[in-house]
Amino acid sequence: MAITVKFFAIYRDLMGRAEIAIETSPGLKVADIYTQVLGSKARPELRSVTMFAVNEQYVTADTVVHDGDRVAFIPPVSGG
Amino acid sequence: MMLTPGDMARWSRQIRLPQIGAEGQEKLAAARVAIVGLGGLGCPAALYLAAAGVGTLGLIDDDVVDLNNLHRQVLYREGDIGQPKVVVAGQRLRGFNSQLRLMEHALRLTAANAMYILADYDLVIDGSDNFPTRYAVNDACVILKKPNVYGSVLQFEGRASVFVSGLGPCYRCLYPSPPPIGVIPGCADAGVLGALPGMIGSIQAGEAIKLICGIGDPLIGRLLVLDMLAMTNEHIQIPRNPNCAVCGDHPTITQPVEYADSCITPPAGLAGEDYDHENRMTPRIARRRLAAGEPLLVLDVREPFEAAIASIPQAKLIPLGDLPRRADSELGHLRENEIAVLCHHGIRSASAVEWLRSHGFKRAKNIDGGIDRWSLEADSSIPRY
Repeated sequence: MAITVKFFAIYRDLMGRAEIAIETSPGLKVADIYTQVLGSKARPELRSVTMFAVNEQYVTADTVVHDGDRVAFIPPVSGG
Repeated sequence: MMLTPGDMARWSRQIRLPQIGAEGQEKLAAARVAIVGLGGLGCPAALYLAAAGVGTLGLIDDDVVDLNNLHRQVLYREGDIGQPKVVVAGQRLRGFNSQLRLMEHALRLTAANAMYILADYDLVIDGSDNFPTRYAVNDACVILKKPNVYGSVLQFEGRASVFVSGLGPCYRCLYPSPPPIGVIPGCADAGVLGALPGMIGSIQAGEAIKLICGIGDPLIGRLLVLDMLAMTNEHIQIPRNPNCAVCGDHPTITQPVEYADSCITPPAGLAGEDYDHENRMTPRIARRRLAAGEPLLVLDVREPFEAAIASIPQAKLIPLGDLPRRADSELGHLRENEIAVLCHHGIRSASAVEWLRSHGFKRAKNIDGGIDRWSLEADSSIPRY
């Protein structure tokens, strides 16, 4: 199945792009997508403070992702 | 609060909006709004709230105007550099509206003073620039039951929401606790386009006006994420978390929680002891060891334009983003050597140290506080920026 992953803030810098379209197996959770997409760039201390959304709805990392979903990784930012 | 004929004339373009009217204008005149942080967000928010006729503004900031503020902090001018922001901002805002009542709090809002200061206001604008203050604002607003009009910016990305206890989530529902030190860069390290806080600060002013007048649909339960580079936005639906430590069904936080600030550079002379640990050291020790001719490589992971402003002569420059590509060829022979990594404030360098250590450079260590602290404590001839 095909999903889109959108990167915000530091994830954009880490990934060098704003979003990515990926093919993935059905039944995977947001946490699995995170691991798959970040690969060697995954950092537990960053993941633990990241907010996730699917189709502009806040979700927890154990939410199952479906075909056509738009997954977003939204870390906190403090700038003012 | 009755409006005078002069008031009616001054705000005529706003009063003629049926949603505002004379009644809304009177509500604005009676309102007391606290603005936490008079930076990129607080300046436009304060400007539009003063111009809109909000009766009382509380200005809260412990900082002075710096040259690098001027590209986004629109209340300040070149002649204001070095002056306290609350004083300069107060003068400018009075120029907009001589009837404005101003409370100037020339201090940093912390967990210790947030309840005491914010209790006097009806509504709070969070325009702060660091996580400890954001959590102090959030916790105090939940406990005091005050609306918290949130905004934040970084690079080209802005966020805004309205947190109202009882009607929607709070900041902790989204982010239960602050990130560990060194994980998330701030504006000083990552940059920000000046017009962006202008947009987000204006949104915060607009949301505050809506809340005061009781009109429209405030950003309660929604997080606006604005991507200025693509000029697109997301409206993330955000629920209240029943298990939230401060606004949940069984709160464990009943007073604002104090956190360490990763962004504060200790002023010269107040920094405490020098240290040289396995994975971190102070700039003064690094300079002393370089002067003694020790085989210590200072690796500067800032961008070339920053090195052009201020740099350490012996340092080798590899910007953080280039490190994975260039490390093997340019540093491969130094895997057994001590590498002291430097950036502006010590945040990017901490990421570099983590990367280096996980790629075989076992003796990489951070220079805490970066070149800014180096300038303050070790060598004042190095310019600060």
